[in-house]
Amino acid sequence: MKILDTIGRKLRFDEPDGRFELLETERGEPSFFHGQKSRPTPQTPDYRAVPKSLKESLRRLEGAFFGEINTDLILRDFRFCGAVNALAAFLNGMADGTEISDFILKRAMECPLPQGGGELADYALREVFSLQEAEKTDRWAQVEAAILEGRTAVLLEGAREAVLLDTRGYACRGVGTAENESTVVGPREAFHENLRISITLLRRIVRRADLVCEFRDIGSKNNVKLALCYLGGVCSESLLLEVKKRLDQVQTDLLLSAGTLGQRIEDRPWSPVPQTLLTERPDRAAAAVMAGKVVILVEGSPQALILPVTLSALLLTPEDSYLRRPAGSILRFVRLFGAAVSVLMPAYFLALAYHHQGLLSSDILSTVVASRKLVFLPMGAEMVFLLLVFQLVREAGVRVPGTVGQTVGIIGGLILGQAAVSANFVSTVALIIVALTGLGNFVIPNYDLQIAVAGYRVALCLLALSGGLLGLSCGIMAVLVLLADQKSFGVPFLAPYAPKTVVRELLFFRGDVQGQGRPHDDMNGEAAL
Amino acid sequence: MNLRLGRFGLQESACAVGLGALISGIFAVDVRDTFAQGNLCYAATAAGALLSLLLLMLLGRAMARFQAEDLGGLLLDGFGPVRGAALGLPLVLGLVLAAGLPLFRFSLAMERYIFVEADYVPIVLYLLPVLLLLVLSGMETVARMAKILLIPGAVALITTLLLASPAFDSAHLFPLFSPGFSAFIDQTGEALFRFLPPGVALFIAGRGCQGRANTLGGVSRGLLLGGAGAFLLHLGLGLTFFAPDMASLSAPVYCMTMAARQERMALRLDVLALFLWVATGLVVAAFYTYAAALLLCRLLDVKDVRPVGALLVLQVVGAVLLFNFDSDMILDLVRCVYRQGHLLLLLPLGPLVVRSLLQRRRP
Amino acid sequence: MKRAAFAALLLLLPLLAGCLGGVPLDKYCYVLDLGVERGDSMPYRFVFLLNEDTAGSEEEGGDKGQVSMVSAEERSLFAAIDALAGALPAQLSFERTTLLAFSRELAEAGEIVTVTDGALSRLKIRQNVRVIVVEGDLRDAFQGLVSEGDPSMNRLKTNVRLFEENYGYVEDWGLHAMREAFANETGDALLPYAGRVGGPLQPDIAGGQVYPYLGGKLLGEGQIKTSLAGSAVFAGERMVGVLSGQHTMLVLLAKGGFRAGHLRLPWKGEELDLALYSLGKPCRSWEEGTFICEIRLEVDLENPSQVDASSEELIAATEAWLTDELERVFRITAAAGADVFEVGREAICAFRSWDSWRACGFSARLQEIRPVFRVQVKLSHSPRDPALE
Repeated sequence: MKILDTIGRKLRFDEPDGRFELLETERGEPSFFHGQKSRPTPQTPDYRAVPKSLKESLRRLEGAFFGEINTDLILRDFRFCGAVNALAAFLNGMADGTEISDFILKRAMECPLPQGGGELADYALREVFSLQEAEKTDRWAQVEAAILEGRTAVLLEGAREAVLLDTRGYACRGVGTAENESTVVGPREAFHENLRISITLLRRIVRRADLVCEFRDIGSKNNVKLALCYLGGVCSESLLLEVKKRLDQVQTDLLLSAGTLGQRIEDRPWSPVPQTLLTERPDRAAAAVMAGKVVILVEGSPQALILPVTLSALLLTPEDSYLRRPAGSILRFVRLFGAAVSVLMPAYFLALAYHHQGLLSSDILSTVVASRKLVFLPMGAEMVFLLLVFQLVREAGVRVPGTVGQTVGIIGGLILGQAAVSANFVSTVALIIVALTGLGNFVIPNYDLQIAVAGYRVALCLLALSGGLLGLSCGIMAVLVLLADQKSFGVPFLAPYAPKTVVRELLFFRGDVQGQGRPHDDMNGEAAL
Repeated sequence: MNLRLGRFGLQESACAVGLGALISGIFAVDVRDTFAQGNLCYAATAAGALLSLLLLMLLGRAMARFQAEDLGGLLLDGFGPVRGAALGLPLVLGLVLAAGLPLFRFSLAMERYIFVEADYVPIVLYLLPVLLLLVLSGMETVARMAKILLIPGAVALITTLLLASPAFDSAHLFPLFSPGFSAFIDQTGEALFRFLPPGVALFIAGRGCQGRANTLGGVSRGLLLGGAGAFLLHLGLGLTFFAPDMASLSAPVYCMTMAARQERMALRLDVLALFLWVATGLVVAAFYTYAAALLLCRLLDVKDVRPVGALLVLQVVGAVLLFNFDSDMILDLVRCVYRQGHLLLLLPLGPLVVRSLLQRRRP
Repeated sequence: MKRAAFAALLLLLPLLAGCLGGVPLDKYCYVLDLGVERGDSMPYRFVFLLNEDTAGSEEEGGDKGQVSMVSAEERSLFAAIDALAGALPAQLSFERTTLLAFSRELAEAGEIVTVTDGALSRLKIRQNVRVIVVEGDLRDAFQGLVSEGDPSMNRLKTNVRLFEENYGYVEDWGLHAMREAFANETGDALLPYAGRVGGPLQPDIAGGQVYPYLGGKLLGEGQIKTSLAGSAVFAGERMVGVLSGQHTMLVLLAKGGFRAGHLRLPWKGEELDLALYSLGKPCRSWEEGTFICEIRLEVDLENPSQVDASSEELIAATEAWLTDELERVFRITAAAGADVFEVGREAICAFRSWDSWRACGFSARLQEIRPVFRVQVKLSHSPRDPALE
């Protein structure tokens, strides 16, 4: 009977596990080729309390930070009020030495012993340490985390709690300008590696009491600090829960930037198009917050992570809003046209050149044929080769620092192109098409999307080469299906067009700035005000 | 459970049904037999669309009476698991055939007029991956694609009509009642096979449509819009060709764009219009195929729609390949599908509607 | 990862299915014009006018718009293409063909359909390709289209459209319309008729001048050696004669294709030059054997000061002359068995089925039709009130 049951279940494609009942399109679905998606093994949280014994604390700290060989960890023992053994633990370079000397050690040594007993930690917090941000904790994990952040932990013999004092004072640069998302008009400031400064930059734009900045530690041991910024009451609760759920699932010791975090929490890691938006502009992050999205700022990363993100958001720039409506609309139209040219033009040309010569006008046909005289590469190979060369030049230009990079681009574009044509390696028409494609690619504001488009372009070229306009149509359809199927934190990637949401922003033309003044949740339609 | 139904709204469902009615209404027509005697297809199209709407409204009423959220549930509730499954199988077959017919006509048009040096099979194989991808992506994606392709579909319709408009001549419509009234009735019956599938498909996927009212709204709006588009195009065809000439064409819609002399810019828009039709037709075929797979899953209590969907996609493509076989038996079969295809849908739907009319409303 | 692999697999599937017969555009010889005439040793001679830019030449920087001509005698078009395959640097492509020319002999023998049936769509020749009938040797006529520098081959095609729109001297016919006219009895074809300048031309079946006559002018010596000279009248699939430009204009007046043109009106032993403008589509109807056609025109005198008559006289004379001429041309073409006025399109409205329409034998009864033409003329400026004043 058991065998029959098993066979019957196999034939009916029953899933063995009932936990996928509720979510058909969300995470948790079984993979197509059976088996379950791999899940990270959760690590056991550290619930240890702060020991009463200073020796034990010292042992733990030296063990955790490899104190014998790690000279960064400073363990300064002193006598609190001249009577109680105490220990100040901090990381050299991360903490400000002057603050520690003046406001912790000096005051701790000079203060009188409290009368009538009581908790030493409370006394120290209220009457001894004159630093603006201080707290006490009885959890050992928090002590370690505070030291790693640059704070100073003061441990007292016989006390159940440790005092954590904000002495962060590491060297950092000033607020810089946005280099990768530059605009002609609008603010120039960019986010900072320092989380506090980044939040300040955001708060300077969104001056609302309901702007919530939730601090969280993520990772297993590294405890990277991040801030979850959103408008309370505007941002969808379910979106917030989903974001927090995914952040909790991040188990890694290496989280270098917001970009890495984005990859850890996105829906489809293998999708060519990005599912989170990385920006270095506080104004863009502020606009996202006002639109009911969540912005994640990561300590040490000068970028903010905006989520959820849609295709239309990836194709917009802050400049659209800063310019007047006609100019903004023209810019947007040009950008979308450029993006369309960038994706379709080489493939469309190949489809026409190989399969539908009747669609080309006589003049164009003659020009193409004349330009191809003596070129030995087949037209399809020529186009794919040029597209790869273009990516090569572009990558070289980006990697080479400063003005040399621009020079590489110019040399690559002009001299290499001219030489290739002179050597009958490629035709001028193919060169023009690839150059136009490249220009179109550069008007796409998002770097991730630019790279995705480059991939789609080559795939569409191959399909057009093989199947003409049929291949191209099928390729475009496949790309559209993948985009329509994709969601970013539950929001369909092609929203607000498919499906429609409450946003009245037109695709090709910029909407009215009058409507941009009030915060709204433009994805799920839950209006806040 | 992985039925990949998702959630879609009124706009998406109306677009899916509208495009389905448009594509099936135009391309699922047996050109040779329908036009051999005369040109009444535009009138039969309008009558067929209205009759289908009436039937689908009755079906909606039946669903309301049985408080069923989708057609699969209605069949199971109304007839029990065994009889329900037995009655549902013709629906599945009807939807698979309805998905195959437009693709067959597109492939034929491309083979005859665009890729004349290519074989039929590779052309069809180009359609397979997209169809498979669409069906495996599920109804939510299919509905969104329908919404995205609404504008290209409308552009294809308008372009086709505009390109053919210089060749429009009211004399082409005459003799006005050439096939006679009985032929008109026959053609209206055949037209049911063009306009019932989109509505039936949406009723099958009704659970994802956020309420019965939305499903009914999507069906009625979509059918009216798509039916109007199909009617306009058939009228355009009637104005462009004399009926016997049309009967000899393998792809009248593509040929009508070339009927008038064009100059310069408009010269080759017909090819682009054809590929817009193909793209739209792929979404419609995926809509029907997914609905057929979903119904099968509901009736046979299968929890994963993807293997069934993939299997039905292969069947659709197989049918498209089969339809082109040059054999009398296949030709008869294809003719039978065109003429009697609607019976596959009416066989299960008729008893359902009758039963619902006789049964009292559930408390 | 698996999803990406699956998507890649799907992408590969069509690629594995193979190319759909794609050939790069520089590997083709493009046939711009295709001509068919009677062969010397084989049934047909096929003449191809090729775009020389794309004929596989290895020279760079040649002049654009160069054309060359090749021909082959064979039993069918496909056989001719095969015969030429070895003699050409690249494969022939008909995707850009915009003109089909048939010799008068072939048209008179009714073999146009025989030659073209089935072959054209397999060669990607489009249904709306322009069709003309050419007098004399097609190679001579095509030679007249070849000139250096200026792509004058396009000029003839442009002229067809211009003469239709500005003068009404020819009607622009596509392949689809021609086939429809051949297949049904609802109207006969009136294809543009072209010939070599100075070469022999067929006389007008409706009488009038016997010299090559178009646009009210004699053909002059210009760069283009082949030009239009009226319309070829068909009865079913056979060509039965030629109508001059002015008589074609009369047919278009009654059919509805006329927009503007010129007319030489006999006036007291001389000829008056009139400019005609259509005032809307003619009102056509069919009433039991009678074809009624009401035409409304605006007329302008080209030299008003030379005319010594009242407006009423001039209007009456114009109306009378046009009515008489229309009836005369109608009777002559009907006698030749040609329904160039497309009366069949009106008559078919009275029938209830295609079977009854076919059974009535409309073409055979053309001569029994009584034509009633009512021409209504409005004079823009009276002779004594010239436009310049």
